[in-house]
Amino acid sequence: MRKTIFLKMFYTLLIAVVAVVTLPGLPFGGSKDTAPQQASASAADSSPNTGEKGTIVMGTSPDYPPYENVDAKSNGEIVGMDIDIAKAIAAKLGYKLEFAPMDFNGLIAALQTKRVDFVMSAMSVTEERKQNVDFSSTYYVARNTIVSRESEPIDNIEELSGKIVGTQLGSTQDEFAETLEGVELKKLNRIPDLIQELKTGRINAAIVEDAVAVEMVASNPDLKVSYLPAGSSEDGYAIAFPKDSELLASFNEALEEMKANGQLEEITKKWFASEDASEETAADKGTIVMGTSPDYPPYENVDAKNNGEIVGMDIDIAKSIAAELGYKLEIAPMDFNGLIAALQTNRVDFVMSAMSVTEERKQNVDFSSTYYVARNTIVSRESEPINTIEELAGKIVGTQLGSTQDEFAETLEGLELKKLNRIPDLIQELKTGRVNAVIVEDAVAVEMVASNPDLKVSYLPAGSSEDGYAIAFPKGSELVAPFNEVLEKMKASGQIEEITEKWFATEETTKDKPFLNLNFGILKGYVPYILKGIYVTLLFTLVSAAFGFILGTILSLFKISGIKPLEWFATAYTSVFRGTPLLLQLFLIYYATPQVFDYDISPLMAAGLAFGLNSAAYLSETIRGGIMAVDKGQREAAEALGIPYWTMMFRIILPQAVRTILPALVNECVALLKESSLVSVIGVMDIMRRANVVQATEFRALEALLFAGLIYYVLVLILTSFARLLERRLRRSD
Amino acid sequence: MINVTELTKTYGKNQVLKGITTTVRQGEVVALIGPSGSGKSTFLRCLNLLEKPTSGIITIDDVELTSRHTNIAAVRQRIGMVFQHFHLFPHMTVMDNITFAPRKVKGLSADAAREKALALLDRVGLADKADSYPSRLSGGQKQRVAIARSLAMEPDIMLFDEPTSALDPEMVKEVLAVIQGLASSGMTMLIVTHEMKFAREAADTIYFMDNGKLVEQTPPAQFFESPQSERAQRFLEQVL
Repeated sequence: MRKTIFLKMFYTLLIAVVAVVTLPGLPFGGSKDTAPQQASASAADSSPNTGEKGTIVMGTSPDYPPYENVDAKSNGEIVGMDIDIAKAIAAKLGYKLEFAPMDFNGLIAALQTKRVDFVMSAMSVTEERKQNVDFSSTYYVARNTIVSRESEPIDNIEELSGKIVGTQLGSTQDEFAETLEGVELKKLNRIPDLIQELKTGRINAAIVEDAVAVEMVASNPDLKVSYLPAGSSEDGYAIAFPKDSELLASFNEALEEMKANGQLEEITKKWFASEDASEETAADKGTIVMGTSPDYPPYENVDAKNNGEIVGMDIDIAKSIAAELGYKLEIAPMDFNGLIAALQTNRVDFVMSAMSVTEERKQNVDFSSTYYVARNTIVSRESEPINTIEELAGKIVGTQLGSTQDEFAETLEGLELKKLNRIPDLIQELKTGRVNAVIVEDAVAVEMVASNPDLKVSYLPAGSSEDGYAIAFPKGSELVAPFNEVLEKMKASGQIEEITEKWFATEETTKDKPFLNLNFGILKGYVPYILKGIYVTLLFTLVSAAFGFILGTILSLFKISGIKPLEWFATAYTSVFRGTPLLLQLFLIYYATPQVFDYDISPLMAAGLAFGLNSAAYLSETIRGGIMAVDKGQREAAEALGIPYWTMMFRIILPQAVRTILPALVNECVALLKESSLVSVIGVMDIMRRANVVQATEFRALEALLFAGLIYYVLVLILTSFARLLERRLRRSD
Repeated sequence: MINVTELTKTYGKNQVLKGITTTVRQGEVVALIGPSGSGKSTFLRCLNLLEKPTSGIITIDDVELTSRHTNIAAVRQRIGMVFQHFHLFPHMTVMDNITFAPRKVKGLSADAAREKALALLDRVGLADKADSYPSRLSGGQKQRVAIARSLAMEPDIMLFDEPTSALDPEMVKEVLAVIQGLASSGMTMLIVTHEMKFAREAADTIYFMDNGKLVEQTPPAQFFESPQSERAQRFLEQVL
């Protein structure tokens, strides 16, 4: 017998919901949905200037961190110390650099056949190799180590005898191990394979170089490392070239120069510095979560062109500190105004978001020492410049709500303040003339003006209200002391200065665009990033619509059940959820759930719950109306046949009710789809959020918003035409 | 088979049934006639508890319907009902309309239910409409499907609530033929009707109701030729 189409629809919906909620890979489980959260360490400052001498190809075996490995988190780029050195040299010599990843064992052959111009792959100089290729001077010297299981430690060469020892085929350590006696060697191609064999007990130890050993142990606490006496076979790593390559001399020159000016040391430090830290603190101490509002470059913003990572000065500092303390860092993006609440509810362990220390905030959170002091500036239109505080009198002045500059502006007299949540909004208000000037900090001002040539910046006298930025913690957090310690260390070693310079030096030079109001060119590179939000938006809409429909149906049945307590409950439910703002419900669910139920609800789940609960309140009335509209005789006929109540409801009454209210249901779905843009406030990376991110990065308001609007409109069109199709199918029985 | 004692039904202040007492025998065909508003339909609907009696006792084969402990659904399975406006399920095909209750309530297999439905459709002359939706049927066809739907539950008693009142005149006949056929098969039936000719031919007993009371219950010949009450005489004068 053919089932009714209504039933099929109902079940499909049900299955979809169950699937979405339970599928492990889907973002509902945790907070993975908030886009890639960890910025990669690589600055990727490849070939910035210089004329083109052409391209040189570098062969490397990218399975050997920290020298070279694939940064899977960041678009699969190859990163590492060797890569940074190669980039620096190529830039110096004016070449464009290209990478050819291959197996370590194929590198020499690639040189011999001139498939690559040179090889950098933590390759040490050996006599054998010298016969086939030329080497530069060495750029790094490594030490040999033994890595073994913590439970069966092997600490020196003597203890290796009679054991099975793993090495990476063709490595210096492999050659070294060959010289040992009474040892069974197992040569593998890749380091990860060595680790696996070691952990499963198929080998007793592995001989690798120090930097690699440290990384191995850092991510596998059940392994331990023992250093071998220096000088056993450490020739150091060098760059290999085909015999008689013309590049050799110029490379050596560049290397010498880099050694002399400390650049080489800087690069090695960059790659080994964090490793040392994780060695000291040994095993992973776990993850700490940092809250930040990534709309404030150069402190923190979403690098939308590069997979949506969050990058910035604050992020770099946080990473250094986390590495130093042996934590894994996770970044939770949210609205600036939600940061303090997130700390209070312990949703995040600390906050770095260019947040300055104020008395008010001090009452709610603890602060570290300050790590940066910014200056206040006035940004105004070039056509109507405002240069001093005096000139602000009688004007409308914009500030970012809750910022230091906002508080500073409060102390000024004779001006009208307009407080907005986000910097891009300020820019927009300024450009459209709704405010005469905005007061922001210097770094932000410079970026604003860089992408909007029609704006100008005036610096205010120093010391007006600059308290400096600090890291915020929940009251009484144990992290404050260690963070302060590390900050002091970083200040002393110049690392902080290094990081700030990195972020403030690279300010883009003014783009001399013709005076256009719209420039959709800026969207270039961001389009895929924004489009990715469609998945989140649709998933969210589907889940909340399905959830709302099911709950709404249950509530409507309560309302007509004739059982008083159920009726009261359903009526009260509807009253409360219809009577309070959706945004408030969203915030409450997101922030209150961890505090009250001790469950760390993910933003997407909180949003789905809030919208579903809210939608259910409206739908319960709609569905109730639909049920009432079904001919009373239908119920009598079913009763006369002895059909039980629930069977009658679900199989006879509801299918007819749903058909009647289908247009209203479609309306609800369309509304949900559009209202879903609200979820961006708690950091769900939907279409709207992504458009905001682009806005914040580019300091241009309209283009990304228009594009997002277009996407929403197209989605709604698709949804409604789908609904029309469904309606036609349901009308089949007429 | 059906015993009714002092049955009353009140809506607010309006007493619709004012104490009805009667007995219907197994296999008896009863035609309920009377002026509109006399309580015929309400009485009929009380018999399968679509209306809840205000007072009085109804028993069917010694099962007391009006008792609090009676399983109403179980009793209803034994009593088929056909409505003036058919009340077919519009979102189901004719076949699904007929097989739904046997499958869901009696637990019949899909095949068994289908086979039975086809036999019933054949009996009401609509075997070719099994896969149509109700919206494609004429009124007379709908009512015959509704009868088949009721019969599919194999009831002991059939209640008809003005089964031909909503039909175009040319369709009345086909429906009455089906009901008449059913009557001659020995089914216990109560029929509210305005078709006097049909009542006279098909019924064993005429119940004449007026103003919430069962005024006369007599064989049709006696009722139509020499009605006892003055009210019945006046009614017959108006309708014949």
